[in-house]
Amino acid sequence: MRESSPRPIERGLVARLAAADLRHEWILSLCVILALAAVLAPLLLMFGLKFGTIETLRRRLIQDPSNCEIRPLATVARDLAWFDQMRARPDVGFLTPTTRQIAAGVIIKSLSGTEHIDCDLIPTDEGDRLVVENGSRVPGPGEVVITAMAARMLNVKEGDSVSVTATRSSGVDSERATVEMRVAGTLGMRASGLKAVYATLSFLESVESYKDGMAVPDLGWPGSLPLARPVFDGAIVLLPMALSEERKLRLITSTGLNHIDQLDGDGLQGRAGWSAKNALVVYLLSNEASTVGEESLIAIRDQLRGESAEVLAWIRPLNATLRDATGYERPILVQALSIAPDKAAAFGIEPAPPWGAGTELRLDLLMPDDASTGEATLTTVQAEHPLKIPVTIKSHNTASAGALVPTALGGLLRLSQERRLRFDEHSRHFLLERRNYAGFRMYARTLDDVEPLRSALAAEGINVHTEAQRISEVTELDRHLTRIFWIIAVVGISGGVAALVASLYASVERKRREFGVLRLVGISRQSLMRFPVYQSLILAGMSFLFAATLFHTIAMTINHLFREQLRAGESFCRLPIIYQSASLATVLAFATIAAALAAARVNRAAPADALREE
Amino acid sequence: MNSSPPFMYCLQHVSKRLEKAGAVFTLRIPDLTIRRGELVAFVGESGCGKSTLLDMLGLISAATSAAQFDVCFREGDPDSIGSASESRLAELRRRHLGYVLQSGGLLPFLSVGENILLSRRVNGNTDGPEVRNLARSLGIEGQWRKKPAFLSGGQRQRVAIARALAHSPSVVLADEPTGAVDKMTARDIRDLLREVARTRNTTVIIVTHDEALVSGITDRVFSFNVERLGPDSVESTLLETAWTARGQTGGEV
Repeated sequence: MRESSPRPIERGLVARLAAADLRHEWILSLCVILALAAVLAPLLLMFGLKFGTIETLRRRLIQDPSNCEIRPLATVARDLAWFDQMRARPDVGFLTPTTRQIAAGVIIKSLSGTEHIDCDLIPTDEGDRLVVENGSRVPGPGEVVITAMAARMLNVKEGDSVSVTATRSSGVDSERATVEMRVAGTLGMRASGLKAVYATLSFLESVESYKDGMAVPDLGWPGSLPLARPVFDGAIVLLPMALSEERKLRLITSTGLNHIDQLDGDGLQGRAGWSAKNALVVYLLSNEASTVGEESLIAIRDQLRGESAEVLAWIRPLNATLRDATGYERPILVQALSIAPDKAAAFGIEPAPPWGAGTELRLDLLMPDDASTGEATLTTVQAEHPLKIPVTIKSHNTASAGALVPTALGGLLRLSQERRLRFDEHSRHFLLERRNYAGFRMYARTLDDVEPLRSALAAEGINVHTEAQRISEVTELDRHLTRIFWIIAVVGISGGVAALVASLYASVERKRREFGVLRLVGISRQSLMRFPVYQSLILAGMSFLFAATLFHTIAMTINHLFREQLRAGESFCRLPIIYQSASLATVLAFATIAAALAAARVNRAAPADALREE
Repeated sequence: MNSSPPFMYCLQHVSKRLEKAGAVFTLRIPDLTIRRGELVAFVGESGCGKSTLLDMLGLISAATSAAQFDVCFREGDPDSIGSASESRLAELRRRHLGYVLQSGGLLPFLSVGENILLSRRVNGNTDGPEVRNLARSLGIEGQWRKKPAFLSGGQRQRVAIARALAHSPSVVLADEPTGAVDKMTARDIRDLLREVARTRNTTVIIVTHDEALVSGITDRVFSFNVERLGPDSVESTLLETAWTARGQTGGEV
């Protein structure tokens, strides 16, 4: 029978003995603590300085949106589709097209004062970090955001009104147009050191148009209009007799059209949406790949002069929706026809358009008489940028026919499938919208997105300027400092470990007799090996505590000395608690290793020998 | 059930061979049985192997060979030392053995009280009135809070005896307990140890070179027959001596 439940050794006894020994030899303990702290404190300080400065630089980089800016180095020509596609990229934080640099200068004048200055006009939009992160909101229509420099020179502030003047030269004279705008906000100096105003892209486009000699009806600025010219898919030729093959060939060689087909009655109805029962011969001239303008029709008419031919513009049926005055909406197929009433009668055209052969733009629509007549809205559906235009519905009684519009309108609707058009309510004209933008303002979402975006743009042939240099400098500096830090840290830690090993080893050697006694008292070898480990942990822990106290004191002093270079929340010397904990863990780990080396010595010591040494 | 033998130690044909710098020393113990409550002395000059024997009895040094090496510190719970594990040996040491070393063997970093309590604490016990009584009976209660460095040699040995007894061990092993004190104090300490054996029914084993000190007061005395077998070989054999049969040194009783 074994002894009933032998009581275990009192818990923590070895640790307490280890601590008592350190306390007893407090002068030696203090020496070790100071020696270790002398190694640890400078390491912590170095780590803190490295961390603090790099973090400060990094944060400045991250916080300043201008570091995420990506500027094209040369003029680009990209359409809105490209901008939409780029904006959809997850690494693009903000993107707006810009107009030509040369057309983006305006004169700003304070309404209350007399000062006036030349300013750059820069487009902005929702999500513009430069504006929102520098103390303003994004300007709406009729508003501008003004840079600190310009605001100071003009002595204006948020809520004030300014006049914005665009100038252009026409021959020898200089023309100017002015609009009054409200200041939506001013930007801090960090955003820009230039005299500039930020406004909506459409305002920039207006200024650019004006400078190009165009009118800006919305602002009441005079000038010419960028009128859209109709285009067609081909022509329909009505002839009293057939043409020879040679003439047919000649007809399509010089007109931009490359197909000529003879149509019968059904064919005509099917391709054009109307019929010509008195026409003997009907040809359809077309081009699969591209459209032609009025000049092609004129060329055909020239060729057929004296043949009693009627040359009519032809477009392929266009899908659209029609919404009449009652709100009723339906899909329709639109085709075009304009012909003089006498010619219509001669060729037996059904239905005969009531608008005749006029080439001026008329917003009329001829519909079978089951539809309601009067004012309605026509919306194109095939076009990339749908057009919505008011039309007047007239009715006809040809059951087989679809919706017909005058040739001029049809050609413009056809054009809207290829180019962006705008129907101008004032002039009741179709105006060409701009095709391309000359540049852009772009911000990457984060610093790390800058480089991928730069290479993506470079792949498209757009060379850009980024702050990559500054970003990589900080990363580079971080890397070098880290390397230097580790070299010093390894040397320092090795020294610390050596000091600890030496001290513990000497201590174990000195205490052979005491260890022998402890073994005799019944503390096992394994338990006794913990003795130097506990001592090591206590010494290292206290050294770290001492070093950390020193570090915090000196770090505070450093941050105080450099407070003028620092912004709120920044510090030059700083070590987050997680790093401090990691350092402590490292120190304790090394202390354990050092102690294990000393403990091996304990294990070898034979207690009997130790006891009788003297 | 009390059928188990009443011995503390039972050694048969035990030998211990030590080699140091090419010299071989062999200690032979043909037969050694020590019973409960006996006061036993091992007497011999230095180099006779008495400390080696004490280390074996103290379970900190293993025999090189042994026909039998049994201990039975608690009745009915014998152990064969040759097959006991290191942790079992440490457990036996801390529960059943008390040590008194030449100069006390006190831990300098612990106070007198902590030194005395150490033998209890390794057994999971703490302070108690019986420890204070023990300290009082040894006349060292007033030194309880002092560090050993501030005590006289005699006081240190008393503290060492108190520590050896504080956990009520079965055996007290005293290794030259009087080696570092004057003659008067040596006698005091010897008498204390005799007292312990008598009143506490504790086996006390004293190792000493001082024949006179232990003459006539121990239950049994052992000495060593040292033979030089060759230039580098010494053999020492344990002999039980009837004290009166030897009697050549006039020890005081």
